[in-house]
Amino acid sequence: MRIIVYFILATLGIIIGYSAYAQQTSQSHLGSADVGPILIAQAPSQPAPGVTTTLETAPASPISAPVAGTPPVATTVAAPAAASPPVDETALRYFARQGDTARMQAELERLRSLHPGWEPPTNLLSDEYVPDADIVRIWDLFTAGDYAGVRAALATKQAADPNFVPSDDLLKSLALGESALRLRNASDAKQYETVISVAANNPELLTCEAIDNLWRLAEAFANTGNNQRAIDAYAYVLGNCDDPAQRYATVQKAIELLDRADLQPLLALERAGPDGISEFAALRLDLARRAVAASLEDDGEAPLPDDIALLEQTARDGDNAEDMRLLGWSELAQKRNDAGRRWFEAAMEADPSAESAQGLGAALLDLGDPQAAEAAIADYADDNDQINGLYLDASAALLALQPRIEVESGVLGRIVSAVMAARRATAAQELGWYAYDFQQPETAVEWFTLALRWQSDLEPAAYGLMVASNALGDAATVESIRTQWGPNSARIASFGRDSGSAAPPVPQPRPVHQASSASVVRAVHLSQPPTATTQATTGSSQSSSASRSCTKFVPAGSLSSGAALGHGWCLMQLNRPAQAVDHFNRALQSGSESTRSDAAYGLSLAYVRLGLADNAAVAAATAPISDRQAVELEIAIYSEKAISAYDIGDYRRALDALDERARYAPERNDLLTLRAWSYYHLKRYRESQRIFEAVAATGYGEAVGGLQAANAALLASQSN
Amino acid sequence: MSLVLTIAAGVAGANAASVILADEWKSYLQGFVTEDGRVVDTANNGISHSESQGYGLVLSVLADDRATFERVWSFTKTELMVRDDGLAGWRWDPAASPNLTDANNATDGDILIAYGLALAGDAWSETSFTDRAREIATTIGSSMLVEAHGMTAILPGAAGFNDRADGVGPVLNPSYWVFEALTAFAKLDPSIDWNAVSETGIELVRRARLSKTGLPPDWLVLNDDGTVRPAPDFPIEFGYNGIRIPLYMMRAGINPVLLEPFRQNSDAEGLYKIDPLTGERLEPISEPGYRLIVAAMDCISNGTVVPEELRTLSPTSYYAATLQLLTLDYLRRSQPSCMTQAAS
Repeated sequence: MRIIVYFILATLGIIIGYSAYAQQTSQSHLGSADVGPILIAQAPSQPAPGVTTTLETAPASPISAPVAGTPPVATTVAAPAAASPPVDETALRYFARQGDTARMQAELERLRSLHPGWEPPTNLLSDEYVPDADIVRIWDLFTAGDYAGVRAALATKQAADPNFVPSDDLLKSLALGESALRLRNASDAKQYETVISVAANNPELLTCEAIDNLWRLAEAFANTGNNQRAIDAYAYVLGNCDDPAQRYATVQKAIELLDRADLQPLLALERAGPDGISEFAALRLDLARRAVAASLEDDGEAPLPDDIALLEQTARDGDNAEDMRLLGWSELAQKRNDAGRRWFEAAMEADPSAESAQGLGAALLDLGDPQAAEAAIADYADDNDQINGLYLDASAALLALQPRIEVESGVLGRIVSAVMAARRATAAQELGWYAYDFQQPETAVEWFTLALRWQSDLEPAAYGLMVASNALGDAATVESIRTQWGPNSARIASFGRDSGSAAPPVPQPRPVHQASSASVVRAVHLSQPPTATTQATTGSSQSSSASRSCTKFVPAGSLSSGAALGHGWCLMQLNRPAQAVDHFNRALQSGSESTRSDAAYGLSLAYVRLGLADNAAVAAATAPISDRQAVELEIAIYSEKAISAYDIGDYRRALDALDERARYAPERNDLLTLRAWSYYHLKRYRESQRIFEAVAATGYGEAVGGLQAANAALLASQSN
Repeated sequence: MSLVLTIAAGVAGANAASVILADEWKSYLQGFVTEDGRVVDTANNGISHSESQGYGLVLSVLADDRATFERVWSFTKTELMVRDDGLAGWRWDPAASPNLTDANNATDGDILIAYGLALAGDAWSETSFTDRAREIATTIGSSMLVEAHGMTAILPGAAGFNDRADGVGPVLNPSYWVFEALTAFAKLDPSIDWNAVSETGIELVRRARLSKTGLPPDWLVLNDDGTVRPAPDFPIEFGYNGIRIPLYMMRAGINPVLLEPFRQNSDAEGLYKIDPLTGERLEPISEPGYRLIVAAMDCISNGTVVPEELRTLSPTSYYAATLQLLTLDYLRRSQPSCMTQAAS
């Protein structure tokens, strides 16, 4: 089937004319009288000067000729070429003689497309035909794509033989070859207007045999805001070109450049494959996935029922967790939480992973079951920031449940660990209320204080601290909070003064529940402070001998310095560093050097645990401490400094702190990862990549995401 | 403002015999022009640019070598002249994919390409070349001219020279004034005042004489009072760009007095890359092709004949060889007395 396509560009509206010889009969009624037959022989032998001229001088009336879903299309019938120019068969005979059938075939096709109606000579090997050796060489250069060489050879031949006139065929072929090259280079350089003008002036370039030109033209249209012309170009390929791989690639390219709606007329041109499966089935599925994923974006439109149905079928048939999760998120987005839960449960079954757990957790949270949500996510809570955030949300919701439920100690322990690690103020505040409701005001004070350290403007934490301090009879704290927060919080301002109008404490205190309070205390005992300080604390001889009876609030000033020291260590064990600070400060007033030394050490550790590395460093200097303690402190302080600096985005200082820390101890994997991320944020991607790589190689999962990010950044920076 | 233009010596007329020697041209082709028509900047990682292609076209006509011209033109139009505005992308790297690594244009490259086409149209009576030359000249005239302190100046490229956030600019490069090309453009497209463009180029050289060295920086901007200063964010130097200025002025027959700063800042060893503000010599520019520019200025200034060893091409590098051929073409054609044996 011989097909030549003509793209004729006219004023703004660009008419695409197809000359589809194979379809003469069916298309002969279409608009040919209006445009006049477009003959191959009329194609310009040289590229026309430029698009400007074309636009100004070639206004053609747009002709609507709907063919197979392709709007403005003018189809013309190629009349038999009445006065065909002589066909230069030199190259054809040359290749035939060489036995080069591939090139001969290519030349045959080229001549056929240039000369419709022409038939190849019967005896290509005839000895009577003596080709000009120069011409043969020129065709040789041409076939090799050396157009510059052809131009030079023609000039040389013309200089030697002033009577020599190159054939129109050769000149036309040469101009066409150069134009094809120019089209490709313009396309590579994103000079789309040039692409369009070259195609317009050289419609012979637009054939199924040179499908890349058609693709590049379609891309140029799409990138210059002319989607309809792009659709026409792709539709031409699908209507006329038969190669299955090229057809598939055509739709793939269209998907990248066109909107979903614009793709419908193209998908309608789908054919059934030899195996009975529609040729674009995989692409339709891909489109459905993209559409459903896009529906989840902000302002995304609801997915089409067809897309959902297709995806559901594939998810079930293929046990595809990815699709199941996509469907789950889609259900959640449409508030069908239970349907979402079922998809995520299936996904969890097919692929137990953080991704599946995150979806399941979200669904359960939306269903109002934070207990199940916390349980579903717990194993994956450290996998990434996103799921960690969800875990903390689920934990906060679990702790805030009304009526209160007694959280199992193991669960409470892991929640506390997660809150400490993430320094999540809102969750710490919920722990405070939880403790308060179970009659543990000291623990509550501790958590509220921590929450305020982490987020100084968190009003509910300040209010909680006020309520809990009040319960402990600590009027000074109550008034200090009132002074500081009163102007911005009515309930704090009026707390305890106007019981009629004051907002009740939120959440409502619950009646005493002995068993529960025990479990809270137990749970809080289980809470793990940052690793470095745990080691330091257990390493202290004071801690083991410290008083166990520090759960009751005792003002530090009321104790002797020695008793305050023991009380401080006890408070540290209960993870109440803020109160411990007071007691260690009291102990620092001791006359005994060893007590002062231990107090300084304890004070430093307490500050480290509160995230106040600078205070810790100052505290460490208030009294001489042992070398071993000093080293442990340095390590803990610099770890804390690195983390704090990183958290506020001061990556240079984070690295400085890590470097300091490295003088005392080898870097742990989590800190190595912190170092790598710091490099990453400072755009030192190569160093970042090296460290991520090394850490990931030890099996430390959290480095994997970083490695990917660093690799991507490196690639991006190299391609710029 | 008095523009001092002496009568320009005619460049290659339609039937003017070439004064570039066959051996010289052969060695130039061997050294710097590939089979596929690419003119290679050998000192710059083997890349090509619109400037090298433009010089290739001009020299092919001066050497009366139409085959090479066709070769170079085929490469130029298919590989570089792909921009939507019809001008040439400036940087082509054989090691990159796609090869055109910067699609911004360099206006001197476009000027040289158009000039080469104009020369070819005349030399070989080929109107299609003349037509292409006119199209490019018209595009340059309509999109690459810019007002600078009330004068019509050449914008060095479409992007990056007149769009600074601080409002400084336009940034100009006086070596982009290929004076003989501008004279040719005046014939191709008289609707543009190319003579005013030429005057601006001469005026820039004249204003630069007020500085300590008297040399124009390669890249400059005009102060509010119209004086010249080095462009911000560009190297502060008179160097490989600027050394073409005296050559272009000589070829166009511009008042030799204006050559003096260029001559006085050179010596028998050649030209120098110089800090135009302090006069500090940063590095020598001493290949034979560059030394010939100094010798030509000396001959015009005081009649010193050109040293024997500089009278034929020494193809050391693409750029030096190109400037040497352009200078030889000028001396042999217009200043034959400079090329005769010195009376000893």
